[in-house]
Amino acid sequence: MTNQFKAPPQRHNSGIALLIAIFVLLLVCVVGIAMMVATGTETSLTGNYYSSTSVYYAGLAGLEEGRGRLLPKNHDYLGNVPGLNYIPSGGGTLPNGNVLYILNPLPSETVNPTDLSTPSTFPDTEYNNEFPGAPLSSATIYTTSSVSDLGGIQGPLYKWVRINPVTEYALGVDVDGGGALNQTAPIFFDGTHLTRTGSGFAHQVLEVTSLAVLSNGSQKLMQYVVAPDTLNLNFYAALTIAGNGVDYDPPPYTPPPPPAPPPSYPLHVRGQDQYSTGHPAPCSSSIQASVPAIGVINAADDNSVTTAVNAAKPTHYTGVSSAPSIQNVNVVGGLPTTMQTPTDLEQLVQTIRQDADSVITGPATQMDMPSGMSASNPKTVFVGGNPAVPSQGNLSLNSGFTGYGILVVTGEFDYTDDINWEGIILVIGQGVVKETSGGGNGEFDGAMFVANTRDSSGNILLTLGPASYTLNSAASDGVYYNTCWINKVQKPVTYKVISFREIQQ
Amino acid sequence: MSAPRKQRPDRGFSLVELLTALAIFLVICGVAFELLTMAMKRYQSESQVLNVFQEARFGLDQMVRDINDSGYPPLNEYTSPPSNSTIYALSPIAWSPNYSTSTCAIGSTCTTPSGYDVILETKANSTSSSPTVQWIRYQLSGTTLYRASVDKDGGTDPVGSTSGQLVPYVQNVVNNVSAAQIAQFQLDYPDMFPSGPVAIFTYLCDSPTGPQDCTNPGVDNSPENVRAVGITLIVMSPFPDAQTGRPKLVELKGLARRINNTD
Repeated sequence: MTNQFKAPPQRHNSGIALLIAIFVLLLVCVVGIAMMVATGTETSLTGNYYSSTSVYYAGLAGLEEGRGRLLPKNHDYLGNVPGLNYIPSGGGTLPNGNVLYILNPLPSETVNPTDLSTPSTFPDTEYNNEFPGAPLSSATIYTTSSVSDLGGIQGPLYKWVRINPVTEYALGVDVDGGGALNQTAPIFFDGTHLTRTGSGFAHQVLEVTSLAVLSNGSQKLMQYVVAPDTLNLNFYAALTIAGNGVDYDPPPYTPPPPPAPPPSYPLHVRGQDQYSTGHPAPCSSSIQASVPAIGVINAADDNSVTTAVNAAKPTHYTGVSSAPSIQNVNVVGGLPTTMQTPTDLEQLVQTIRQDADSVITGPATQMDMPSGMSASNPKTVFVGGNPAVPSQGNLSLNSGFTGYGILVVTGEFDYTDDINWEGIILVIGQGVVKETSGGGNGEFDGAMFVANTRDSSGNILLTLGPASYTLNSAASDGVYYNTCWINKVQKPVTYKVISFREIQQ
Repeated sequence: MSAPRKQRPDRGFSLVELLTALAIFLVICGVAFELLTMAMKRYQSESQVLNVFQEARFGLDQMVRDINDSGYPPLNEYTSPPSNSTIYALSPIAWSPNYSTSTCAIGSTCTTPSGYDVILETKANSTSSSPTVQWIRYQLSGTTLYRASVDKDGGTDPVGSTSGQLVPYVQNVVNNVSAAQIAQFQLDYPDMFPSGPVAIFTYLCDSPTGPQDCTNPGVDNSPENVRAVGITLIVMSPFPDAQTGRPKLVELKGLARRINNTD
């Protein structure tokens, strides 16, 4: 008989080791999880702050792109984008309902702020709150691309920037204190405050709104109210010769005895706004109040200039008062605060230099003037160099040259009687102007300001010195006060931030 | 027929073996539980620090946001100053004494703004239909940073208007505790308290050469001229460090820059 008995499997006494191992593993897990929780919480908190700060600055970057691209000097000026045609030519008022979006989508992302029914394309839900009477669906929409993505490097993560005119209702501010928030009239900035009227130096106020959204969902909607800020140059006379002991020396008018015809003497200085018909102004702004033909800043100069003009042809100096209309502007309000002392004027000159289209180190002639100047494209030209070398600020124009814009001459300004300038001429520095005979019938439309702020070594004077203006010919048409040209040539030097707010969503 | 298999005897552990195993087991358990206890204490301690940190971070974020938005809407959004001064911000930062009639000098004659007290003027919810601007005040009292938000009252002092409305906002703020406590903190955190109490708010004022500390000589140190506010919050965890038993502090810094102008 075969014994089929099988021995039972051998038992091992190793179970206790497994238990201990499991227990230790459990402890290690508890400690590990605790540490992970702590680390995760800290990471999360830090991430929130990072995200909050990132989205704020992304939104701010959008606002700054919008603000910056409104400035004509900007390389990416919105007025230069081919086919966009958003910025009105000639500085006109942008009608309400004209809305520009600067789009900044990520690659393979769609941004369409006007599609309010698709949340994934970042709709502009704020516009209709600001313009309930003229919602986005009825607005004229312009779009262009952001320039923040350069060289293949992704720029700030804002999705879109909206630029549009504003109303009282959109601002939520009763600008004129009329008691109700107007929903249609555009708002303007007069250099100090917002207004409802766009006359004179007032420029239209725009709204720049930016939506920034991060990949983690953080988002902010932020808004600037901006307005163009110009130099705000204001003149109280067609020709201002600011100084002490100034010399204005026109050619004498000596008609022969009758019946010989009187000699031609077209030279005029007129303080009536937009008087000239031969040089039509580039705008149709309302006629402003007349100013003196010549303004000086003290009684002695008032007398000396009046005497000189009386010896010439006083009836050709017309303006706010009877001819010859020559006044001490300190009696009728004084010079603007930025033009009162040599230091003020030098600061003004340097400000203009910083934003000039062309800075020329003289002695210069019309050959050195920038090309492309025209009535629709006035330019700011600065002639000057080392103040210790006054001749570097000299400019000589002749041969029927015509310029448009702001001309600053820090040395001696020589011109023939056949040149034209539409805009503003500032001869500040040596303060010397000399006109000589040429083809005749040149004309300055706008305003002219002459001041001696430096001595012959280039040192700034303590008080304004003896500026001089010598005319050797009476054949030019002279100087014609023209606020239209004065305003036209003062392009924005910046878009001032009137206010900032973060819009709650 | 195969040989019968030899049966193993049913032999147990000896007493020595059991005692040895038990001893080893107890030692391992003791160490493990000690580790666990320490880990739990540390976790609790760190959690408290994180709670404090979170609360302080939230408070700091709100302060930065309020200061960034301060001064809205500015007076220049009106053609002429409205007779009702409660609908615009006269200054991004209100002041006391002599609010609105004559300004004060930060660091000398101003009661507020100061290192531990600031009152902001802004329309906190700019989309609200109400035109009224708010005064938002942050003030440290003891170890609690309080916050108040009230509608601006043009005819009164902002300190008076906000004093009764302050509510606790951030707890355990130790920027300005007693000298003895600061001396204790300095042992562990010498960089946080280089020389006594640490101001929560420091002010940078506009100057021709760029923003400068408002207390610098020659700087226009009026509240209207403040361009940026530096914020330093030092908060202490309610529980000390689990290992050392020393106080646990967290320092948070922020810089807020107001954009709205007053001119």
